[in-house]
Parts: sequence; structure tokens; C-alpha cells
Amino acid sequence: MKIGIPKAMLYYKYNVLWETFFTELGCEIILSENTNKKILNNGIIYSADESCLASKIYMGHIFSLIGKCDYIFIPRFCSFKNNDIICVKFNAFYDICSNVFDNINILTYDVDYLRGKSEFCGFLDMGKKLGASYMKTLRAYLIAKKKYKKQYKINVNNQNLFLEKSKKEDKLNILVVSHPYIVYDELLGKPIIIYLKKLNANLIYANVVDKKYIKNGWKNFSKTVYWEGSKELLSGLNNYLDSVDGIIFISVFTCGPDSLVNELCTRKLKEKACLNLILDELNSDTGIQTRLESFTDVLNDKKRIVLYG
Amino acid sequence: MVDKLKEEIQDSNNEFANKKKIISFPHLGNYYIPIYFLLSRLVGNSEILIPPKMTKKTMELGEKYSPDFVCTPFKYNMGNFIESLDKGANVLIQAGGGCRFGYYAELQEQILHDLGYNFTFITLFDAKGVNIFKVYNKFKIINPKLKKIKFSYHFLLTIKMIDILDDLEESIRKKVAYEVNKGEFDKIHSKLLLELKSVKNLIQLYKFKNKYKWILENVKLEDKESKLKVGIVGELYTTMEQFSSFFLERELAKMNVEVKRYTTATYLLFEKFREEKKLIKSANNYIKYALGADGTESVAHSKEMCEMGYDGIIHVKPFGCTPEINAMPILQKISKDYNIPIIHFTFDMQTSETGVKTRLEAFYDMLKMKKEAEKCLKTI
Repeated sequence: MKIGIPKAMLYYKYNVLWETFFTELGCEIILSENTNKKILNNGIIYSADESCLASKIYMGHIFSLIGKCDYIFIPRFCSFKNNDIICVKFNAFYDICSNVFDNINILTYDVDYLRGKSEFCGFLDMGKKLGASYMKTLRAYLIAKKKYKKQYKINVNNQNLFLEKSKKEDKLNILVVSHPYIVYDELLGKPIIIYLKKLNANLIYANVVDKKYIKNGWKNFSKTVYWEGSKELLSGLNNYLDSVDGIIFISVFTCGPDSLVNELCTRKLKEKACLNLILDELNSDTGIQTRLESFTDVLNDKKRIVLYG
Repeated sequence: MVDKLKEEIQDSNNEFANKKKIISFPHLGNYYIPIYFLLSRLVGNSEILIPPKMTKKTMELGEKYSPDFVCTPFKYNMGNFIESLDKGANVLIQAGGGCRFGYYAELQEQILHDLGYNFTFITLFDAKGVNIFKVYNKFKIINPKLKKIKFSYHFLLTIKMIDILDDLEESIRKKVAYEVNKGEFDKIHSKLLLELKSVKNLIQLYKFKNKYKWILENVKLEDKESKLKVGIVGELYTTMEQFSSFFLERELAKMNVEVKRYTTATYLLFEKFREEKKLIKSANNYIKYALGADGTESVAHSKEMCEMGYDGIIHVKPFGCTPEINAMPILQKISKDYNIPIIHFTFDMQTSETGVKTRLEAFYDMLKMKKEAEKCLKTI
């Protein structure tokens, strides 16, 4: 059985979990291509014009998978343990896609702890739908979960090692505060990351942060934030704040949580240099490059003044 | 030194306790009357300031100090707060709710503090839902002498008041298209609001209700046949606060269109959370899960109204409202399946009133032509 996974949105967070689970069940995985202009254009056609850029790209990915696989995997997320919620856009992808595209076979699982639906039950239901036995599904889920946690730890460790190393170098340390589906996306975040590296900067990602910091780390910035992704980013921001020279916020146009949380952060971060980049489908690379250059110039100057007086 | 500091802190605390508190809150349709009623009973000596009526200036102030692509109600609330603070308010009250609404308070407080205002900010609910005991504790901060019995009595009375106001307004919306003497319902509406302000207890409230029910029942009406029926669905703020939708309902009334709207404060407070499963079930060939905030309602109610034989549906939302954007593709499919037109209105600070009016007129003409064509087909 072929299962198509769109390479957008929460794929960048749960990729190991999903891929391991499906391969353990003996399914073939078909990933959509890296985001490109064609995918974006298709996405724009199939979504309401006010939707956020990331969701438009998601629609494009799903369109590119239609006809290539038996099932297209579109999970639904709503609320997590300890009452965190996620941007309401994730609540509706299943329903939007089943209404917009005709003849689409969707495989889904529902994470909604407030309405009594856990991730575990969702995966079991999925296994049932794919025709695997209960024990096989359980085994696949446990292996996938273990691998996912391991990968998460490896990522955090790598970043910490990198941070230690970069402290000794005479390079700029820049913290990138952005959702994983923006910063790792081929079309949205990648050009920015590549250009920053070209400008001789060490990049640290706020979304890669140890789970134990996520419990309390965000409280320094915001007392009432309840979005899961924003909590993670704020904890990362709080954790890495002292070891970086500047902070770049990257968000996409009409992103719900970011419109409020990023504003609050830039208002509270008065001593650190911040750059707030907002991406939309009409952006030009040159415009962003100019802003990045001037930002790194400012940071370099600042560093020189601190060093040499 | 430490003693001195302690004294200073105590002084400032005393200052907050002794200083005359002027309380203000953001506008939401005509609900400022029940809110004013509730606050004036609960806060003891403090004064209550109803924010100035919304104008273009409110919009401009709100837009100037808000983040760019935050949803529009944030900007309106900001404008209300700034205008109240300029008039001397020093305690601000903000509610909270699902989606982004629960996070408004923290950012608004920060922005207003950055602007240099000195005030106390009180948030009534958080994103997790309404908890009456928590609300009581919040009021206790303003008025330490408040008793639980008094609080519950006035709270329930206010809820009854909102319920009655919603009932009366709904029947006005239903009948206004058929009035014989133009402007009669408008007059009754403004009189009703004026009289509601003077209501003080349960008996007066019931007297008020019976009086206006009688008045509304005895207004001369035309026959019901030829008029258009239109449903309004969408986000709560834009549907309820008429200023933010350029008085859409009044425009429709001028065109003699009967308006049905589900979203009222009573609905949001008491029926919404009970109805969710029922709504999803009723629209189960379109949606399987809740779409978040008012999205589910928009879809389910649109479908319901299509089945009830309404002529058209108006979907209103502020700019960037994610739940309503989620609902849009589904609404379009409903429109196709039932062959009933749906128009989407997005309201922002930059939306022009003339643009909205032109689109509304075109929509009205289209509905009328469609209805006449259907009539002709039937007679043939």
C-alpha cells in the first residue's frame, strides 16, 4: 500500500514518527517533492486567498500527491496534554481537503485531548484502517515513538555541541525563532538560512530545545501563551538568549499565533537586536537579502564596539 | 532603607485601594448596556466609563498601535481602550475566549503600558473556558467587600437581561423588512435601548420585556410573500458589532430583506458548547471535525438555512480570521450543492464602505433576479 505524505507543515516535526510507523506496517511511503514554485502556485489556486502562506504550500503538496498513492496522510491536530492547543488551521485541514479535492482518499488521525482523543488511539485506528493487526500496530507505534524521541534528543545534543563550539569562534551567533515548517522549508526558510551562512553567521534554532525547558521556559516572556508551537519557540528563545548576538523572527503572512507572540517578544526584548521577517508569496529574494545584510552589519558593528571600545 | 521601600510599596498599594477607580471595557454591539449594569452593581464606589461610541478615530487609533496582521477585533478593542484611557479610565476589563481572543489581553496590556498609560488590567476568562468562580475572584480585586450571593444574583440577572435583549433584537431583525411605516422599528429599537438602561431589578426587567414584546407584536406589517430572506453567518465580533461591518444589517433592512442570525451573546455563552456535536452531525457530509471557534457554526448553520429555503447567505469575517477561512471552501461547496449564493465579506481597517455597499447591492439584485426567474419557471 502506498501512502503519500505531504512534505509540509508538521511533517518537519513528526517526520521520524510517521515514516517509521508506516514502514513498520509494511507500507510504501511516497513523499511529495521539496517545495517549489509550482507547488506554491497550485496551492494558491486551491486555497482561500487569506490563508497563511504555509497552509497554501500544504495544499499544493497535497495536490501534487493526488493520483500517485492509495492514501494521502492528513492528520488533524487540535489540543494536546496539559490543555495546550495548536493554531486552528490544523483543526480543519482534513475537512478542507476532503471538500476542495474530489476523489481523495485520506488517512487521518486525530489528536484532541480536550475531546478525549489521544495520539495513541489515533494510531491504533489508523492501523486498523490499513488492515494491520492490533499487536502489529502497537509494536509499530512503540518503535516509531522510541525512534522519534531518540531523534529529538540527538537533534538537541547536536545543537548544544554546536553552541559550545560556536562560542569559541569569532563568528556571529544568530538565533532563528520560527516554526519548523517555515525554517526548514525549501522555498520559505532555506534561502534565508543559506544566505545567513554565507554571511558568516552561526545559526541556532529555537525550535530545537530540550523537553524539560518547555515546561517553564516560556513563562519569562509570556504568562498566558497557550499555543504548543509558540510555547516551544519561547522556551528555546529563553534558553539560548544569553549565548546569541541577535535574533531573527521568521513568520509567514497572516500567521495567527505569530502575529501576537512575535509582537510581544520584540516588545520585551529591548536589549537584544531583533529582526522580524514576514514572508508572503510576493516576496523578492533581494529584498530579504538586503535586510539580512544590514542586520548582520549592525550586529558586527555592535560586537566590535563591545570588543574594542 | 528596606523599611522605606516597604512603606513605598504599601503606599502604592493603598493608592490603588484608595484612588477612585474608573473602570472601562471594550464595546461589543449593544451589550454595553448589560455589561454596564453588571459592573455598576458589583464594583461598589468605583465609577464606570462606557467607552466613547466607535468612530473612524477609534479605528485609526487601534490600527496605529496594533501589530499588522492581527485579526481586526484586536484593533477595535485597542481603539476603545485608548479612548477610554484618554478619558481617565484606570482599570480595564477584557474578556477572553478561543482561538486568538484568549491572548489579546496580554499583548494589549503590554502595548498600552509601552504607550505610557498607567492602569490595571483585568482578564475575566482564559482560553480554557468560562469559570464563574474565577470571575468572582477577579471582581473581588476591584471590590473587596463583594459577597458571593450579591455577585451571583446580579450575574444571573445580567444573563437574563442579555437573553431578553437578544430575543427582542432578533424579532426586530425578522420583522423590519416588512414594516409599513419606514423607520418605525429603528425608533422602537433606540427607545428600547434607552429604557433598558434604566432597568434596576428583575420585576422591572420583566415589565420591560412584556411591554416591548407587545409593542413589537403590534407594529403594522406588510404581507410576507415577496421579500427576500438572507442568513448572516460568520465570526462573532463582526456579526454582533454593527460598526465593524458598516451596519450591514441596517443596509439589508433598508433593502427590505429579512435577516436571520444565529450568533448572539446568549448563543455563544450557553448553547455553543452544548451544540457542537449536534452541529457536526447535522453537517456530517461536509465536516467530520470541529473547525475551531465559529467555523463549525458557520458551516452547519449555512447548511441548515439552505435547507430551510433561504435565498442567500452572507458570510462575514474580519481580516485574517483563521477559523472562518477554514470554513470558506466548505461554504463554497455547500453553495454549489444547494444552488444558493453565498457572499463573503472581509472587514478590515482599509475596507471601504462604498465597496461593501456596492457588493451588497449587486448581491441583492442577483438574489432578486434569481427569485423572479424561479417564479417564472414555476408558473410556466
